[in-house]
Amino acid sequence: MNSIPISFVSEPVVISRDQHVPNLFWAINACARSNDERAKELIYRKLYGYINAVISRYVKDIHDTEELVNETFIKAFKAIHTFSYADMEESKVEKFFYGWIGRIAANLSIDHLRSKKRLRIKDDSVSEEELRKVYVAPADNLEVQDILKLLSQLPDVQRIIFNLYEVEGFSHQEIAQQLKIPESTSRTYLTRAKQRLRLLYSQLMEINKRNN
Amino acid sequence: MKPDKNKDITKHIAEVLKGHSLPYEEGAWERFKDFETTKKRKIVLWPYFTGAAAAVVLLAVSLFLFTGENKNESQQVVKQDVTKDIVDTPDNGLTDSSEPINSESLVSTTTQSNLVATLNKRQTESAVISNSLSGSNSLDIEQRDLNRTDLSSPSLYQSDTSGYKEAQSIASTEPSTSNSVTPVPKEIYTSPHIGSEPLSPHVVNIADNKKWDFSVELSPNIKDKDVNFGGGVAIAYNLSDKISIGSGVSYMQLDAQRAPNGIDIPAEFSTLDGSKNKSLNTISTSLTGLDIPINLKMNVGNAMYVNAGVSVFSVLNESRYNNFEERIAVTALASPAFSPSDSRKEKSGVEAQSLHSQEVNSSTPYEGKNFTGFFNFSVGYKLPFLPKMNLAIEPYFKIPIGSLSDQDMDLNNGGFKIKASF
Repeated sequence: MNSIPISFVSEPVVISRDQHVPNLFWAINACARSNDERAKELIYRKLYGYINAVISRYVKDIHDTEELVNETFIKAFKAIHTFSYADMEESKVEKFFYGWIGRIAANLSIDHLRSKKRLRIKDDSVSEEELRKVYVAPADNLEVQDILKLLSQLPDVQRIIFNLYEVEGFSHQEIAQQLKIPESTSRTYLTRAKQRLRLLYSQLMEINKRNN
Repeated sequence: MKPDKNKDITKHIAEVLKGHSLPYEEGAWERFKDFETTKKRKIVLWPYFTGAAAAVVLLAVSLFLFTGENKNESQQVVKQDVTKDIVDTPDNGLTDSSEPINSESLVSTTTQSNLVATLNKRQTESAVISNSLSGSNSLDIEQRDLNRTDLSSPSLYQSDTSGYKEAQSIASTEPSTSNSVTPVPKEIYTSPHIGSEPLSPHVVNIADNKKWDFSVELSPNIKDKDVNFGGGVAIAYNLSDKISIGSGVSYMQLDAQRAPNGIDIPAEFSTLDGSKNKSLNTISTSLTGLDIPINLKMNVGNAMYVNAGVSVFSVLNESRYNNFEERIAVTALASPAFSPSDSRKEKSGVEAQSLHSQEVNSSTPYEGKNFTGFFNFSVGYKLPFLPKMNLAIEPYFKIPIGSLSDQDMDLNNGGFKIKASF
């Protein structure tokens, strides 16, 4: 890493030949080494939208979401020196950093829901009817906002398990360990979450048809 | 994103969400800076506010109760003075300064004074006696003569059963300047003039009973194989001989660990060389915080007591670590002392060894949170140590409750307190 640029983000960046364009890779380094305020600001501005989106998938209340976004950055800045990326390509570092901070955000969101006593998980099995898979094809005009609305209508546990399994890519074993539930319960709730999403989606499409 | 018609809607939703990002909101960074500053200030200051508030409450309660006790004491002194007057009045009218003082009245006065003095603390003896004698201008007996009498002598309580008149007659036969103790008839305490209530035992009990216990405690805490030291101060109010209620503040350090799960920061982010031989073994956490209990204590016998209660636990700091184990291949050195059984190892020349390492974990879910706390149970045994101090050993066990029990670590813990009470 060469010299650290004097200014960026809020001030126009003057790039000389021996300076790199300030990017996330530089900011991670600078933040880890010297807790640089400008580096923190760059990271915050660059990842704010991503972290906000991750937390919005778990938490519905916008005030709680904003607080959790800030909590995530506080924890990330505090522990950024533990983020190791030696021998890793610069392009991969950014990807891993997104994954690393995204997991902090997801953990905080789950802790938040747990502290609010929102996670009541019953250990029951899924019925035969529920197990029957009925595929519903997506429509062309499905917007992200529609998807978020559908997701927000799921019960908290179903929403968390759907996010962890389908979006974050965790296995049922890992989800079971995190939520302290049996693996079979995780599977049950995922099946229910998917069935409910299909149902909600079909209802949404019906309403749209009628309106058109 | 253009949806794939062959995919299920749930897969499409997941794909959309994976790539979804919200726009940056103007002013978010500035709000974050404010949030960070407020949070830092909150974390740093709240323990002091809590401690100060607890101290103020305890002080206020103490003052209120102590003031109440003093008022009772002063009321008792007044009551005894009145009693003395009642006792004095029938015969010689000692309060009348115009009458000559004879030996009989002097002894009588001295006896009354002794009674009053016995019923009060030693520090107030002189004042009470002086007040009792203040009505007699011609009374030339010296104060030191009165003080010299053995006020705590058992003879005061072991006098014969004769009446007040008899006591006077006994007194009149003795020289007025005598420094010896004049026996006080029992009837003086239970005189019909005063009423039938016995004064001395009740009053003395109030003076001697200790309503408040202050203690300093050292509490080694044992969790798994770790031992941490904590300590604090405690105060207890004795509701009765058997039961007391107590509180306090203690600093506590607590260690716990658990096996890793998939949500923990993945090993590839923490592993420097990306070696697959390195695995995350355990996640350990070390919490430091303030424990503010409310306990009910019951004495069982003279030396034993049991304690039960709840406490609020506030985490001041959390350090969480990932503990790694790495299996590495080490080439075995040739040794002349190889036994035949080692020949296979010698041939291969490679041994697997475990290296243990630790890295800081970014997740600190406990820090800065006010948790409901613990259920506390303990059994104590008092050891007499010094005249005004008791030493007690108190094994205890703490079970997490409320939001503390919902967290990922098992925070059940125990240990024993060493308690010095004053």
